[in-house]
Amino acid sequence: MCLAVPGKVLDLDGSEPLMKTGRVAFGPVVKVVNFAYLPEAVPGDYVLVHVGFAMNIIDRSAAENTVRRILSLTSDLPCAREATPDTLRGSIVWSEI
Amino acid sequence: MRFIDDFRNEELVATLALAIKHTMSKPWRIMEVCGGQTHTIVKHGLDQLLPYGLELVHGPGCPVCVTPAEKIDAAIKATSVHGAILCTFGDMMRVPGNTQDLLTAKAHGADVRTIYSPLEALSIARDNPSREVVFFAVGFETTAPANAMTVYRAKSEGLRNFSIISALVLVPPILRTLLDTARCDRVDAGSDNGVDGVLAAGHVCAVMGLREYHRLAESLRLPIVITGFEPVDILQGIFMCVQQLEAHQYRVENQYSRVVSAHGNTIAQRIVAEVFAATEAGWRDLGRVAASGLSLRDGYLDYDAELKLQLTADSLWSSHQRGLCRASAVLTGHIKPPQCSAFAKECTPMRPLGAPMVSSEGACAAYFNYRGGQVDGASQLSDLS
Amino acid sequence: MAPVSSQICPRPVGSSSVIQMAHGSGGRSMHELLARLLPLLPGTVHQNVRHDGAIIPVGMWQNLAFTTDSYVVRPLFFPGGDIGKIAVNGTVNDLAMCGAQAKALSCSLIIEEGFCVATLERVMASMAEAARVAGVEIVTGDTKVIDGGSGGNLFINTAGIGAVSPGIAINPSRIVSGDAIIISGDIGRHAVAVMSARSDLTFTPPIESDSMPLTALVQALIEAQIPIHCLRDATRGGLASTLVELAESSGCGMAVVEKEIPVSTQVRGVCEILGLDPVYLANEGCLVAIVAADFAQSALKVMRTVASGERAQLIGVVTSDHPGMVMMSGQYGTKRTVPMLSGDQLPRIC
Repeated sequence: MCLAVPGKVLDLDGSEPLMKTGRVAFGPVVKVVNFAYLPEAVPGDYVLVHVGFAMNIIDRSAAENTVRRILSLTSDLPCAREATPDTLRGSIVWSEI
Repeated sequence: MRFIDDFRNEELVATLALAIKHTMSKPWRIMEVCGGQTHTIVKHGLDQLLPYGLELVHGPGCPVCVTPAEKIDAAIKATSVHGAILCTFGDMMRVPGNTQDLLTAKAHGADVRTIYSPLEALSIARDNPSREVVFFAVGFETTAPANAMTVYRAKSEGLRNFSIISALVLVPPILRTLLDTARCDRVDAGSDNGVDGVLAAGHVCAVMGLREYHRLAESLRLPIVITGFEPVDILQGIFMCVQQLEAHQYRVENQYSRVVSAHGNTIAQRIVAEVFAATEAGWRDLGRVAASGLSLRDGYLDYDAELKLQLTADSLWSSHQRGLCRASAVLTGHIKPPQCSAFAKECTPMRPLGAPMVSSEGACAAYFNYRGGQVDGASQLSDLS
Repeated sequence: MAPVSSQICPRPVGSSSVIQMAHGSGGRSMHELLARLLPLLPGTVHQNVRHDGAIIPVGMWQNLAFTTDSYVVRPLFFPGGDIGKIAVNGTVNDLAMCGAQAKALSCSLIIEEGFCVATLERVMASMAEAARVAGVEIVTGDTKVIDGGSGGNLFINTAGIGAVSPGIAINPSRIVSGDAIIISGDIGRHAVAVMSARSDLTFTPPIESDSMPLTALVQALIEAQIPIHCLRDATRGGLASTLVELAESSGCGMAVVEKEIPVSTQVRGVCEILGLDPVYLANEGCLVAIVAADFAQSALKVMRTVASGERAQLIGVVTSDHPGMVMMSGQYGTKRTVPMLSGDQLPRIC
């Protein structure tokens, strides 16, 4: 549920909190978005937009940590690059089955 | 695109798939709650990257799929009110009510408009002051704030020709009901439909925060991982869930920390609570669940289209009780879509028998569109067990 | 909660007794409607019905291609084109898909009472310009005015004829396992341009419809003596519906590689926001060419020398596996089926 897309805040408009709008760039596509629920956002922030409303600021360092955490797994894993659907599924026989 | 492509990276996907394989020592069943996650899994074929023995169970998180036929009947009834305009999201157009769907109503002359944002319904109301504009508000907690804002604004602007049909529903109550049921089945009926872990819907938690989920994990004794929607997110969510399962843990973990905070969006929560109150709600194919829906509070009843236009339909179980469709078994994770005898035969996206075949996020439509009706190997194997 | 044992769901009414928008979307609904209507025209239905135009033999050595199409696009004007431009290019391209060079077009106008004459003149000027670019003459026509509500509507029908060079036979029955599948350019621009004109989406730089004549591209392939087995312009229903149509009418399978399909960043952006799949977006200047395997590279080379084929790309192969079906390999080496669109593609919100 709930298609929400990250975009970059270009500029903001309106001083009354519940009427605040702003332009958000999704790659090359620019859309006017309602910022009633995210008054603290500033231009340059990446925000998550759902049905025309900016709902959350995307935490860049958290995103980087997520990726770093995954990359740190590679040291424990053999041949991560050779992974394909076939090698991944393998033919493991579980004792329970 | 930033934060999209990064989380579709092939190397990260391959790493996680291998990590899952190396972490598992026995089979597990994990439910992804949200239809958006189901869509990603099936579209990108992520289940083809998972080891045998890891089974994904598709959850109830598709608002289009769970909106009861009676609400669609009410929406169609609204279009017959003289001069009324019905606004709705595109997904809702093809979902069958008890007698017809909105596309058919439109073909018969009803003024039905698809919109992208609920605020567009407000503009349509301002532009057509002599006509009643009804917004069909469907969705979970993620969409509730946008819908609440339309009503809040309509009231503050004194807009008199705007009203909504609320089919808004809440995730934790239905999750509790489903997972309790699944557990009972496992113990009492001996049919192994037990879900071992849950990937919770990241965008619902982005609004609501984590509080409810701590309680849920504690009482159901299931690991819950708040998970995003890109392939890397989903595989990492599965990995974190498997790690907990292998370590016999059950707690809430947040894979989607770039978006979800512990408290969620408090302004959104405040406006939703101002406009809506929790109420018993009907779920398509799943029955009625206490405190699982949102209806307008007393101060906003002037904007309740069902009251204003007297749309109240007959009772939930009034008609059409028989059929081939096993949507509720799909929605509760008891069967995979291809195991339904009507799948891809009597029931196709052209002529859906049940709502999960309609929305592109519905589990049945996802299997039909991306699998040509095949069951994935993992569930075939688990059928033999 | 109701007991889970009631695992049944309300059975909705079946197919509609009236025409819905989906019946015109080029997908499954339209094919079902045609399957119902065509038998009512006995004697007129032959092997050409699942092709963009009919081939009519005239004399021993010469074949004529004949086609007709109606244009109902809203809004009438959109970035990169208008109803007049696509009314010319669409019909010219249907002829090109038969391997023909368009010679003459008809133009039939259905205009709602109250329609603005200046707007009509603008559309006519656009048709004249498109005809000049495509090297075709508009030689006959008709004008009808109908009662209307809003007075804003204009519909155009064009029919066209063209000569097919001797020895050319382009149709789905010639598709064989092993053939190469080539797309002439990036997909989805027409649909997105029209969508942007209807909504508040803005683009920097603006995204324009790909509407253009494809005759030069096809003629270049013919002159280079590439064995073209089939051509189809990927209009309504997009690349996906075109491939499924070809798979079904040839009885072969189509195996395509998702990341080889060219999609501009703008089109991708719109698809992300609205939850659309670019393979279902309509094009007005993009064709699928099925050519003999050994000629794939030379076909690509020829196509890339023509403006309308600069971004041509080999996207897959015809196979004897999964006959009648299209399979797509995704980013992670996983596979999925690509069905024909059931109805209109509806923006996904949730």
